[in-house]
Amino acid sequence: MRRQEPEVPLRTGLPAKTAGRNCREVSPPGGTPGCRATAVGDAGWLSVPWGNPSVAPTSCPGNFLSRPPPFLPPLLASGNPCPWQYVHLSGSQDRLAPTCLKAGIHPKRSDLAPGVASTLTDRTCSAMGTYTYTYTSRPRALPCQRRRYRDHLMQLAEEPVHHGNIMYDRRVVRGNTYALHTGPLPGQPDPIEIQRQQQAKRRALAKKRAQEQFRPRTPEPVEGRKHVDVQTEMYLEEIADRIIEVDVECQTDAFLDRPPTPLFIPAKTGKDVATQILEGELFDFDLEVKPMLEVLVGKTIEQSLLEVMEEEELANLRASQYAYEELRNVELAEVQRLAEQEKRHREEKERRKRQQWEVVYKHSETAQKVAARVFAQRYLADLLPSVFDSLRDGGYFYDPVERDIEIGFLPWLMNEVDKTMAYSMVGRTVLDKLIREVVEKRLAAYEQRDDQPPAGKPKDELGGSRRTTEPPVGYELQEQSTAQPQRPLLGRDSLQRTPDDGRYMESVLAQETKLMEEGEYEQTKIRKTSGTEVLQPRGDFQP
Amino acid sequence: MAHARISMYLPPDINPTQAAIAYGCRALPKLNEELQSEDLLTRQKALMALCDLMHDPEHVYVAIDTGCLESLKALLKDNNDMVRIKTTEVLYIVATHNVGREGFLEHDVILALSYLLNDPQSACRKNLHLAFKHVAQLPSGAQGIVNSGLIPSLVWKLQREEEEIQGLLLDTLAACLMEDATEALGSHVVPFLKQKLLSTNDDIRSKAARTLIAVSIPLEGKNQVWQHDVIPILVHLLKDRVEEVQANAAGALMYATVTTQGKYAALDTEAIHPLLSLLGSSLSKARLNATKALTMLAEAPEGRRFLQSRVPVFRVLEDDTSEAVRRAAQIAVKVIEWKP
Repeated sequence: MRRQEPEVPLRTGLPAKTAGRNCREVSPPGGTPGCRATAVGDAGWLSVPWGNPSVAPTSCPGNFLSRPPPFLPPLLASGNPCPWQYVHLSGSQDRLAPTCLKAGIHPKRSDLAPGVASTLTDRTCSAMGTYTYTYTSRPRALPCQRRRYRDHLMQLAEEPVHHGNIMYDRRVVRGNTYALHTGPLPGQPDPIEIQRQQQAKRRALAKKRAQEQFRPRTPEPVEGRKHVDVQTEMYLEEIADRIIEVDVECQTDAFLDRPPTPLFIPAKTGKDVATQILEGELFDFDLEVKPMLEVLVGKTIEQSLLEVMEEEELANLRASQYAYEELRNVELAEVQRLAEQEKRHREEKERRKRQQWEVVYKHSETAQKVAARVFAQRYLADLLPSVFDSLRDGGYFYDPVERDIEIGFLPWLMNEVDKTMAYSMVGRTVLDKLIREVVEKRLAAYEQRDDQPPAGKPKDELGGSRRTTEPPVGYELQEQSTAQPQRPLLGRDSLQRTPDDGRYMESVLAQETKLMEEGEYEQTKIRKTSGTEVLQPRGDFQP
Repeated sequence: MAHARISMYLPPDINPTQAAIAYGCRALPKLNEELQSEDLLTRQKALMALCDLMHDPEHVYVAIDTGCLESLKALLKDNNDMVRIKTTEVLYIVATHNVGREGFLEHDVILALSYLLNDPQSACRKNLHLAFKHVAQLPSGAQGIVNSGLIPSLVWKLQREEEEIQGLLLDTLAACLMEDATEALGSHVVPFLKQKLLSTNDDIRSKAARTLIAVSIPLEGKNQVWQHDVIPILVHLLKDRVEEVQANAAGALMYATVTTQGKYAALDTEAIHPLLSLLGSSLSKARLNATKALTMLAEAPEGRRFLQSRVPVFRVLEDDTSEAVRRAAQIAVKVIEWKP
């Protein structure tokens, strides 16, 4: 576009691409400055920002220079007296430049300005009939300066007026207005410089237009004719005033997830310190640690490998040892079992043998016993009679009655005989004594008789002597009776006689003494014979 | 990038608990010297380093050659607990190698170790018993232990120690009693083992049964086993839920029933049924021992009568995978069908 050219050298640093853009790009930088004039319908606001051109956004790195200032004067010539525009012009142009830094006012705006004013008034009349506002500058929609098509020298008013969207207007201040860059940025050229450049631009444009006018054009058409555009190419192109509209649809992208909030990196505080790192100074840990790690890990692994191998070896050894032990145990048990079995069998055999031996032994013994018994029986068969015979001959067998008599009876007999003898002896001695006593007494008595009368005493004496002599006499008599059964009667008779008869006793006594003497002799004879008899068998028995 | 300069400082001490191991063949002699040093810390560090080194059999050989065993023996009597624990650990690691075991026997280490049987530190005792166990794996080692007269004290310890150590003791005793059981039999090992058979710990039960196997090999052992009424307990253990215990109990029964008294004692406690069920066990050892035990019982007439109806079971066993089981089954069948 023609009008864009002067702007290119003015812009420093910005790519040319941005120039073609519409006001849309204004909005991001517009975030920082304060709020801009928004809608057209917003009645009171417009006046304010535009009333203070000093407040107008200046913070933007003012690369957007106003294009319209060169255009505005011609506009005003044709245009309506819009207080807004008036203000626009009345304000110094150099102020305009900075104010419109942000808002790169497009060339199109100048075209739109006249129409805008009228529409604005219309709108205000219609929309705000109820309000009792009076404006110093009526709100109006700004025409968009951007030209869509090549412009003709003859400005055809039929072309629709494109209004600019205030949202995308660079001139509108957005954001806060607290910290706005009022003056030109340091990197920017002087406003005087800017002015000069603008004037130069204007001059160039005027020159161009003048040249345009002098350019030969096609002559005017003859009467009754009309110039008609004709296509001379091979292929005809349909030309239509109506712009071929193509409906383009646009669909917003599907909603994306809200991207994560960018990390908050706080502003840097503190002193800046710079370090210059020379080549080879940086410590690369990975490189450095490698050899050490190798050694460490190597040693550890080596050690552990050794230990594991050792353990494995041990485990293998133990396993083989167990297997061997098992077999050994079994074999040993087998050996022991067999040994035990052997032993038992042997013992069993021994026992059986012994048993057999015993049986045989017993057999033989019994046979021997039997034989011996038989033999002994036979041998001793006539031993007995011979023995008995010899004994009988030897006199060992005795007649029991005879023996009894001999053993029992005869000693008793002898005893008795002894006793009797003794009695008789005693009797004799007593008798002797008696006789002696009697004789002595008789003597005494005789001697006394000689002295005294003999009447009573002899009886007493006799009585006494009878009493004393009785028992021995009795005994004697008994003895005699036992010893000599041939003369018992006599003795008994003598016993039975009454002792009163003393004298008779005396005579008897005398007789008896004689008898006694005889008896004694006999007794002694008997005794002797019996003694000898007794002695004989005794002598036989004794050896 | 780091500089290629060699630093003036010594490299940092990565592991301050271990002594620095010298390079190559200087390692063990230097450690040996450190072991004999006066400073406690040096000794401890040397011991820690030695622990790690002794896992390699070559180092073990060199160590024994340079006389480390003597210094270790001296250290066994040290006052410091840590030193003793570590020394016993080193000795136990040495005992896992054959070279080490032979060194033990040569240098009379077993006797020196036996001084620590009553040590207050349980870790020390555990290592000690581990060392003994490994020494006992070697027949000459077991003989050495028996010769040093340790068996009675070990049997006595069986009552006192904690369970873990009891397991180790039982292992040692099992190995030693395989060699020579007379001393043990004289020191009431059978009643102790009887107690252990009733323990709740599976491991201890199986090890006690294994030791009983070793005990009942000599005739005296068999008699003692019968006298102390261990056979009913063994029969009860045949129905235990742990297979290893069952197998070992069958083994002990196998030996104990060699004598006639044992046979009848087992028959009285109805040993045949559990033994028959054990024939179907998955452990080949269990099958083997059960077959042998049944063979023993079949020597007795009552057992033979009972087992004659079960001969088919033995026929099945004759097709077993293990060679020993097959042979045992054949012998069993022969015994059962023997007629006087």
